[in-house]
Amino acid sequence: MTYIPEARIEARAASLRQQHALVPGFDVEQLLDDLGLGLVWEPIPDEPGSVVLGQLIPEQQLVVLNEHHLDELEKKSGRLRRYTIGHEVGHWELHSDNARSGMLSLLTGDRTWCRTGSADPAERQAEMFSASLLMSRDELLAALPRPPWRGWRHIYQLADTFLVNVTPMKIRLEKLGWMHIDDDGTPVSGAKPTPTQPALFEI
Amino acid sequence: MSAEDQQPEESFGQRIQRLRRHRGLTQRQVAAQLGIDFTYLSKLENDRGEPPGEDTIRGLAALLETDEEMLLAMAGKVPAGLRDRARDDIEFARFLRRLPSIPDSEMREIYKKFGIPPADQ
Repeated sequence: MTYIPEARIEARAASLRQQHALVPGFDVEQLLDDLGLGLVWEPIPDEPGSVVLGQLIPEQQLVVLNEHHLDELEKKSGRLRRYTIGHEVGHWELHSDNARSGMLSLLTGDRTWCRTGSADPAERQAEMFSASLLMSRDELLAALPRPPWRGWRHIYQLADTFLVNVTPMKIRLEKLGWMHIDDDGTPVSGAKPTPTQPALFEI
Repeated sequence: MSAEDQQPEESFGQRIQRLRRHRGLTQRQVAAQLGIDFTYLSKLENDRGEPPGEDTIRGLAALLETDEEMLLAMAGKVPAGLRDRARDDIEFARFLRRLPSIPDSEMREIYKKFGIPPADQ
């Protein structure tokens, strides 16, 4: 799997957002249509220790959502479904060059299996793409309360605005360095302060 | 039939997906308007499982502004009226069974007699 710098993933998602005039909470299924990707709900067997939420079959230009997890995917206006579709769009944009150019892929087998908690670099890249697509850096910055702020209320509000679950919103803000969890377990604006380096030699 | 309806070698599912996109509707919007489950519509569009019932196909045709007879034919559906008459009228049923063996030239004459437009109209 080719290494893709995070900045490039962020830029690719931003370009897609601009191209399709996407706004916070946009309709991900409309985006699939605009990209020419089909969508089907089918039961996909899970594997021991991991849950498969979706798949991308590049050569069929098809996203498959796991019907076994319909309730979970549809909860709270389909926030997990949106994130999963964003993830599959990530595979399409980042890992399916052959299929997108109409050539058969020799590398991917016939589909990507998107398991929760996977350490596979391609899965992590698709996760990052989904986060960048659904929680655009610029729009998030515009929606953030003016610092300093603290409390979960802000995270919940942002999650509602961007139609994502609270956990991915928290992770996104932490990764951007715009929020950290303090020692009391409360979200606080700004990056986590770096502990001051103790002097090697006391004078 | 309009130009966007003419796509050779298209399956029933591909047809409804293309027409839905052409109308700018999502799977969920179409499913909600027809009163069917969006997961079911996703399967129809991908030719999974059995084709839907006649009422659903007629609803799809109305919503997607396409020829319902064409959609019924693509889904391999015999209209209920035809089925009912074949059940009640044995001569009609015999006639239906003969239809596949009637030469094209004779069929064209029959179409002409009943004012049935060619498929590309």
